[in-house]
Amino acid sequence: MSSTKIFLKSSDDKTFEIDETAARASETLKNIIDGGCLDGVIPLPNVSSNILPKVIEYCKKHGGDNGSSKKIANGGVDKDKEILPDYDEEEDKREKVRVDELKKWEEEYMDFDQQVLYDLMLAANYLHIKGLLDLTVEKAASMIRGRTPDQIRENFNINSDFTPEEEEEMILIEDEWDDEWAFD
Amino acid sequence: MTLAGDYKQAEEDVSRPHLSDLSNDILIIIFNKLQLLDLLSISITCKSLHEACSDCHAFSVLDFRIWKTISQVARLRFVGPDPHSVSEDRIFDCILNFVVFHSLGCVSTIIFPNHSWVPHAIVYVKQSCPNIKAFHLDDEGEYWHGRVTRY
Repeated sequence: MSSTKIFLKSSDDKTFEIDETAARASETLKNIIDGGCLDGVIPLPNVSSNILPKVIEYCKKHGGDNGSSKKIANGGVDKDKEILPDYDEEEDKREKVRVDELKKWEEEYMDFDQQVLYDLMLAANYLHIKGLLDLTVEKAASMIRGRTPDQIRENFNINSDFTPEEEEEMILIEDEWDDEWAFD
Repeated sequence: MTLAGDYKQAEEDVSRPHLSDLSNDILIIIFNKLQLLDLLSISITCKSLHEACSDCHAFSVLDFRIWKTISQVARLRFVGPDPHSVSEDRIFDCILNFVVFHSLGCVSTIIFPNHSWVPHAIVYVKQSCPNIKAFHLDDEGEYWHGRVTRY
């Protein structure tokens, strides 16, 4: 059984092709396909042609997978998924190799600039691709974790736009209380 | 020509994405991956993220368990010109005051360090956050799980 091709149209009217099995990595696309509303091309008004190929790349890698290798048995096996679900020791080894390979792939996949990170988070959220959302959100969180406010501003190109009065309120910890303390 | 250049620059600034442009459901997922200190930092970076922290209920679960780290880092990060003049008590009071205020009354759980401020802090949080479900007290490695109604 060969996989059906699905066509996706980006916000700027460019059309991309994707295997149905890969498209199913997206909960949104899966619902459209299963709902039988497939009318040639699926328009994605929230995803531009800059980011759609990157999304498709992720789906190709994870399509028909959804976190477990069992679903691969349903036919749509693409070239990345040659492992069949045999329950033996060999399977464990192959699973480990597969996970290691996937980690390496993710590392390379996630090497992009901030604009792409924002766009990918938005696209993954819109298309309900859980794995991709987890991956991108974790990257954003890691750019915040353990940083000072200044470092966060630098990482995300944020300008402090507080007025001087507000700036004063942003001093979290003052040595003297200006007003009466609520606890007393 | 300069005008066109300025205009283009302005346009680029406008189109440059901002962390707070992300929808609240994405920000909530990001905030959920962060600890109290990170959330405090992010909430004072700029206005929009400051508001986002409140809107996304970033401060609904307050975990003070790693108090030593929290107080050390907070002293360096959030205290004004003279970090060493501030007492631990004041650091705790200030942080609690800030997060309770910016939680908009939505604190649901607090895990306290084992410290003498707990009783007055509990009364304060209870008054400000009627929806609080659980206080946990870290007592020599054991947790005391209790409902606020006991107080």
